[in-house]
Amino acid sequence: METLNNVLLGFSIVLQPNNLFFCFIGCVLGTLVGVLPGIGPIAAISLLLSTTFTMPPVTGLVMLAGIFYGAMYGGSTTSILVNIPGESASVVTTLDGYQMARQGRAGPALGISAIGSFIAGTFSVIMLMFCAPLLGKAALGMGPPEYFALMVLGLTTLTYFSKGSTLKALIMGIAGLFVACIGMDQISGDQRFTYGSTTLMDGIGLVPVSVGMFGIAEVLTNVEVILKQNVFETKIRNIWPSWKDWTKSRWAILRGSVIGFFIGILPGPSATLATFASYALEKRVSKYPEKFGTGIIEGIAGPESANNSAVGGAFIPFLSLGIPANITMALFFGALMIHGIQPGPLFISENPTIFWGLITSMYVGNLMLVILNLPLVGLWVKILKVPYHLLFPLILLFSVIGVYSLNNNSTEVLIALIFGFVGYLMRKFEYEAAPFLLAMVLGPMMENKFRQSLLISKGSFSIFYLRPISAILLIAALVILTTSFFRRAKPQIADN
Amino acid sequence: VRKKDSISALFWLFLSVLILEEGRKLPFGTPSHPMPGFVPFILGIILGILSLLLLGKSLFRGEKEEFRLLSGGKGLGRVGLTLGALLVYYLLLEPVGFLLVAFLLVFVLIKFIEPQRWIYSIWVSALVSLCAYFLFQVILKANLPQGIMKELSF
Repeated sequence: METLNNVLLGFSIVLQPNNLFFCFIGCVLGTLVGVLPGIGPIAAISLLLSTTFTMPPVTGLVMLAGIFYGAMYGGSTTSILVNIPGESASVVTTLDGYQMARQGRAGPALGISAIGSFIAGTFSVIMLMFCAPLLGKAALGMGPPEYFALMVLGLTTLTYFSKGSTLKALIMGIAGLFVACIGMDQISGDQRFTYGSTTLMDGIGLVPVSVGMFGIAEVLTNVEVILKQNVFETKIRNIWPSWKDWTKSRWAILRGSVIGFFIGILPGPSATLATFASYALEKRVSKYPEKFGTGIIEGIAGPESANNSAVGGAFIPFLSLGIPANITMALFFGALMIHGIQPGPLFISENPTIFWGLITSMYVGNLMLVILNLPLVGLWVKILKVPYHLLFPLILLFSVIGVYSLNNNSTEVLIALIFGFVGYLMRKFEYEAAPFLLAMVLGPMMENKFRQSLLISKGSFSIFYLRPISAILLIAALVILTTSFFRRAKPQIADN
Repeated sequence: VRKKDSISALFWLFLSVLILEEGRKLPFGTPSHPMPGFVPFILGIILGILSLLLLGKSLFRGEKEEFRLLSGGKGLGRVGLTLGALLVYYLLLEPVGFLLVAFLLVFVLIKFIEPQRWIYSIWVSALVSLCAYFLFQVILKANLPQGIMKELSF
């Protein structure tokens, strides 16, 4: 009964014209950046973060969430029609989706991915409704050492799943933690590594860094080798899958929804990981695994459901523990902090309107996305044909405006440029931006909890291994770290 | 020898030394009462160890590789020009004002990165900068710098 009341409260908030409008804007923008190559949801959310400052917190979050899950829908369109995944969570969709398009079945491929995404999105929202408050209550018993250990585990898991060398991912994590130290020390108020700069006194902002590393760096990489793409010319007829397609896909959608949700809870590039896991599972349970990659509809239905379900899962550690599990959640974290709201175990009980408003907006948004994506697929295909010579100046201009308007401070534009160049070099030297950025966000909280723990234990590090939850989490982190150094092959997951 | 790893490892090693050296100026405290220099010191040490591991790995275990940092020629020129245009945008933004600087930035990018015709580049840049101004300044009230365009602003 209590949940029902909360859901009704959520709907009463999200159905207010203002929130409904921004939910729609978020879904449109999300689909747009999912479709367009060269800009992903992370850069888009970073750019629009500043526009949410003047909105009520729930409206801002509803819009940002729309971008997040909208990009999952949009990403599948480019995977199927152009063989270029709009973002990493749609990489797997290219395998069978593009083949279906080549066989003249682009319509059902797009249709099943939108329907699967809708079902999975709805499933994960319902799960989120039940799981987040429970976990939030359980987390009330956690102290500084447990929080510190949890963040160590989160960062370690992210480095494990990062592309390429674990050692390099760890270095990025440490570099991110160091950048987080720049600015005023939270406990003593001393200035660290600021060298008299007033901009640096507040620390290096998340937005200029993420815009630089995910927006500007991407453009620099693309202009070096001019991006050319050909949209597969096909008439998209009948987007509704046939009954045969549907009977083949329904269990794949269900399995994808469940896998996606639980993998979504894990730290790291969970949506991408969920798609790989779902594809592998569909191949394993299939009667014709050898045909995967030739245009099998289950190979689209499962992963596309999984990546949408993972979005709901990713909100769980963020909303109930206050710990962002991936970069997108880190940006949400930044948005809430700007409004003076601290995500954590008390978040749901203290801010029921924000929590339930956000959750129900995801339900409404999923419905909007089905309407946006199925009948309007032709429009998105047209947008795909926007030439890159027009697209990249727009991305860059919006990047620098977004960064400037955050604090009306042009020094932050310079910081974004510097990190754009750093991000470009990192790609050249095969380093990933994700561990860096997540460490940068978690850094202040990690340092705080670490120092608080030492204050509690009067300087003894034993506090981290004598308390059972903290010990288990740290051992898990150690196991992950050790296995990642000793394995030969590891899953190759892109970070953005 | 994996060149790109050894070059980057040397950079990280340098950064770790820098963190330790600069961190020395901060009060360190004790484990029971850690001060602002405590965590940077630990991070500097870990970064140093990791960069030495990477250096060792790249020198002794790495496979041979062809490594060119930049694709050279036109590609390098386009990256340089894009970065340069953005830097000029940053330098002129406040003194000259958003509208004119945004026009210049978009114009340079359209005209010279993937060269388009002059007329096309001019009208697209004008349209884009005006639309961006209208969207951010008029609708979203972003308070973009006016610079010398103050008298002309609407």
